[in-house]
Amino acid sequence: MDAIRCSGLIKRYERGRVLALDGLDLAVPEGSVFGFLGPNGAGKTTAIKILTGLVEPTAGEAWVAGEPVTRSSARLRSQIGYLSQDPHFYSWMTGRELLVFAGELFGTGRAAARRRADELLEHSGLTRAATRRIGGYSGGMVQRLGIAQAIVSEPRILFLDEPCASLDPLGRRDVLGFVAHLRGKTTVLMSTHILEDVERVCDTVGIIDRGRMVATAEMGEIATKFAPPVLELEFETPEAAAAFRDLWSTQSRAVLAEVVGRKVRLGTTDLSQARVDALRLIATRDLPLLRLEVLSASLEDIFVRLVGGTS
Amino acid sequence: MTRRSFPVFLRKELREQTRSYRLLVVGLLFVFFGLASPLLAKFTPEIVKMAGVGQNIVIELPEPTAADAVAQYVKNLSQIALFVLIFLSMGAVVAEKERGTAVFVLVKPASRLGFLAAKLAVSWATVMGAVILSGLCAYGYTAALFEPPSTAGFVLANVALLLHLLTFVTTTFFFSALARSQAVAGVLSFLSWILLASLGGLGAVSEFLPGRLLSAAMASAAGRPLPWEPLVGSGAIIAFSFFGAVLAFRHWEP
Repeated sequence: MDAIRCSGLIKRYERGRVLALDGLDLAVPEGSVFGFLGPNGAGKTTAIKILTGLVEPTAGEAWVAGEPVTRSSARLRSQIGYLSQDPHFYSWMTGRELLVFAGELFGTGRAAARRRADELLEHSGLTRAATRRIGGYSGGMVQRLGIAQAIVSEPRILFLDEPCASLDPLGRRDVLGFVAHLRGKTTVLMSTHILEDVERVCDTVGIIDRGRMVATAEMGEIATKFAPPVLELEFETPEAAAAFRDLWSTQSRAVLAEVVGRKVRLGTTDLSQARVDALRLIATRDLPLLRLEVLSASLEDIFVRLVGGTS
Repeated sequence: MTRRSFPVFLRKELREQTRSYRLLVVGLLFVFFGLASPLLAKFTPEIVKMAGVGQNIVIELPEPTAADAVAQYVKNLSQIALFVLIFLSMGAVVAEKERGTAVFVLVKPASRLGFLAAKLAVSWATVMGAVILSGLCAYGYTAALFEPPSTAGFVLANVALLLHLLTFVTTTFFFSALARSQAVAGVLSFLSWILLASLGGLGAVSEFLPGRLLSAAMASAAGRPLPWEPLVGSGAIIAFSFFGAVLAFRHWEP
């Protein structure tokens, strides 16, 4: 069963002049950690705001935890947790007060909300800062508090909008570890433009570009589904690499060659033929080749291939 | 859902009022005006007379009375204190929208109505408490410097004054829910204050405006009953402002 589903979501801003979502279709399986990947301005935040009931779509339908998504649905909001892209909390509150307040908004009694707050503070490593005002917290502490408040009600579905964007490597490791820990218990939709984060914790990935979903697949399948392997050739000098590229482009127009310094990458579905053709060209011009390797496409390759023209 | 989240929001607002020292600032300001108004009424004529002495001008002024003290008190609270109240209230809702704290709250299963109602309730309670404190100070000082004003009349005057202040606090609240920035909310609030004050010459309509409450306050201190027209007019403005705020906030999207 899908925990999150939407079809044909359209969102226009500024009296229709700006199209943020252009018929977005999405299905997130229950219990998965879904990486919602896309370049800046692709529509990730808008989609999450619609799915959390904060923003009304211009057209289309969505369901979260089996509930139709509407802005007035308290039943929907009682089943989700949300951390915004740039979270801001009441700076005059202490971390503990904020978590108790958040728990009480879910209708939890005061005593239970306090117990849960203490549990989450410990889990987030904020126990020692529990009675300090949030205004004095570091960015990483605010982010950890943000995740804690998002799961205060043990939600069925958790929306995290760029949770690692402002964190240092240690903060990122903590947050991603936390997200990985939720796998199987909570469905997590995590938007990001950091490919490495998706590779580290997500089991399913969806790539959005210009308001449309351009690819969705399980992490293990995405490479075979959306990007064939790449043949990488490394030359002694950048000039040799460029010379090879020029030569290749006159011979084969179907297979594009990309030059990065001394390396040339050939994307092709017929690796054997490409390898033979490349070696033949190198031999005819006596180009100084150092290495030839077949590389599986990384998520970055797929991402660039699918949205490269716009990012 | 509203009934469940309203007390939670109420506690949060009360805590914020104390932590941000807003309660203290408003309280001290009103106490100051409560004490200073009778003093000003008593000594202003003497100061003016002394100013004439150096220039060999004899200024004749009538002896100040308790009515002058009440008039001074009404004037101070309805001008300087109201200015400060508008300034402090203009960010009530819009500041949360701007900072992003409203998003944190609204994604939880709590009602937007509860969020607004708690804010306005605490804001009103602050003004009410401040007027009570200020009124007690003004009454005591007026009694000490002049003669004790009629208690019933003075209470009625304070009721009229309080309604005047609450009307503008609520219109400011409406603009705060409507606007996208604190600056816009502030400008609209001050403009509406000026506009309502400048409509005083509109014949029968002006009888219903909140500005009429001020002359009614001074008159009621002298024993005359409060006219119903400004009570109804101000009540209508308050109701319109609150429901307008609810409507505007219901449609707000982050």
